[in-house]
Amino acid sequence: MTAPSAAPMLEVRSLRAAYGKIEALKGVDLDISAGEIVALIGANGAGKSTLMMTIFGKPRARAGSILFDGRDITDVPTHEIARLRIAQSPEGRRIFPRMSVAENLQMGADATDSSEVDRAAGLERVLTLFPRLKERLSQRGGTLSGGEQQMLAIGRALMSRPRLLMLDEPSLGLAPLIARQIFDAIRTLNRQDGLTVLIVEQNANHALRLAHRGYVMVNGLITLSGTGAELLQRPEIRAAYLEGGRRG
Amino acid sequence: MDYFAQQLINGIVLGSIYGLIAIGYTMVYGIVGMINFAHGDIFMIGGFIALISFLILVSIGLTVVPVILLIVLLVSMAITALYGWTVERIAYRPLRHSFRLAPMLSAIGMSFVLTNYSQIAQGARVKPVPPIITGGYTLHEGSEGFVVRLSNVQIIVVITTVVLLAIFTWLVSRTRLGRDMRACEQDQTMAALLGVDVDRTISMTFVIGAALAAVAGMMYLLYYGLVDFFMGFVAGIKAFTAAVLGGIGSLPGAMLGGLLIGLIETLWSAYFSVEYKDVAAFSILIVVLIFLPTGLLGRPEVEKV
Repeated sequence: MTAPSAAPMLEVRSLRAAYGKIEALKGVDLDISAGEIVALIGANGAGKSTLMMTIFGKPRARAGSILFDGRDITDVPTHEIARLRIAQSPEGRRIFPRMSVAENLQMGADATDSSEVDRAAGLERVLTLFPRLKERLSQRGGTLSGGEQQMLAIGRALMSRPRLLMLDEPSLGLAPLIARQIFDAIRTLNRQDGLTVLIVEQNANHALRLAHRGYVMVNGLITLSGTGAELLQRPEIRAAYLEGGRRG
Repeated sequence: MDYFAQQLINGIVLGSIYGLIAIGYTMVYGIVGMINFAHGDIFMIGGFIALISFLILVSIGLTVVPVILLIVLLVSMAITALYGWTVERIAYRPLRHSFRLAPMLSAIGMSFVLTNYSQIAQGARVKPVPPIITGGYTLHEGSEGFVVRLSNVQIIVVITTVVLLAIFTWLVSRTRLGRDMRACEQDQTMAALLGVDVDRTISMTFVIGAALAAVAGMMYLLYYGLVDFFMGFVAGIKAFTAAVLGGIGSLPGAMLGGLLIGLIETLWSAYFSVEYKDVAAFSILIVVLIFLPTGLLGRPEVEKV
């Protein structure tokens, strides 16, 4: 399944990042090859979201490096990283509440200076994936329900026609049915368009079933990695992220 | 009634000038969350540049008034915009990630710098100009001999304001730059994640605010026929009051607030006492803020997210 390619699309090497004095990433290594879905799982506060944001330079890495297509982007300004067609649906969704749904989607397309044709095609694609957004196009983002906002955040990221899509907890706060739709949509995008995906999830079961490979993060460090199926079988994963929650 | 109509006209003209300045306050507040106390002085600079470019054009022998006005308008907008850009670049941007009060203190400092710079460069005396636009229309002649007049200057001030507001509204609501500005206002980190150059967008906000203040400065020059180095202070505070009254951060609010402050001031001066016109304007501000803490068109801080 994993596309064989010479070098990974994204290489993260010994990455360290901190918020003030609190070190959130303590030397993270992670690879994503083109065409892969990679899941990043771990408890709250393990540093998963920080890793995604650090790839965008928010916060800046204190040490280590980030390579995209072999190019060192560790110190590239955030807005230029977006232009390399890396897109993120971040923690907390961060849609623009006082912009219409249509404008939120346009912001996504603006990220890569899409042509009018690309914009129309991108919009068509997003509205096919999330028909619910179609009825809401002229509504303000802040008036959407949580699930709709999630769809909008993912749709906005897709509007930039990303090569690498990073999704932070796409199923958070969603009804199981809608979460399933979103996971199906990600799988479709990966299979049909070869979209490369990094997905952070609390729902490790879903994420690891979806992903080709997974990484487990604990306290700012990667402690385990392997294929999705492998990780699902590991007793410590089952105990910590799959069954533990239910028992507790 | 005639007297009232005349005051209404005067109030709207004054309010247009306040409104144009108030937009600069509210835009900058919306996007970087600071009160740009130097904005009133940017308005003053705009007035001076209008005066200087007017004198230059006349001295080289240009006599066609509409052409002069258009050139003066464009020149003062461009040069004042450059001032706005420079102020942001040297006094605010380096402090962007400092503590919250730092840029505000820096703004107060910039205000002093600009005031004193003009005083030194242009002198402390009031600079009068002969009326550039004369004439007008008599709208109504009352029985007691009171005449309601609408002067050509007043017409020009109001028309220019309306046209610029239309362009400005289009820019904010329909263009990519406007969208980027609104995105930065709502969530700078997310805007950057979507490829928006936040620093550049903030710079453009200062540029646009300064250009509108320059228009206000030129209108002030045309209307009152004078400029002086200290005129930015009171006008700036009035316009700031207008922005707060309308709801700081709201663009239509800034214009509405400007009109209201202009009207309150004019009507109070006409019916009560000129000396207390500022007291009246500020009292109404206080009353409005007691009942509507976010101003007339302001939005509550908490959004459903």
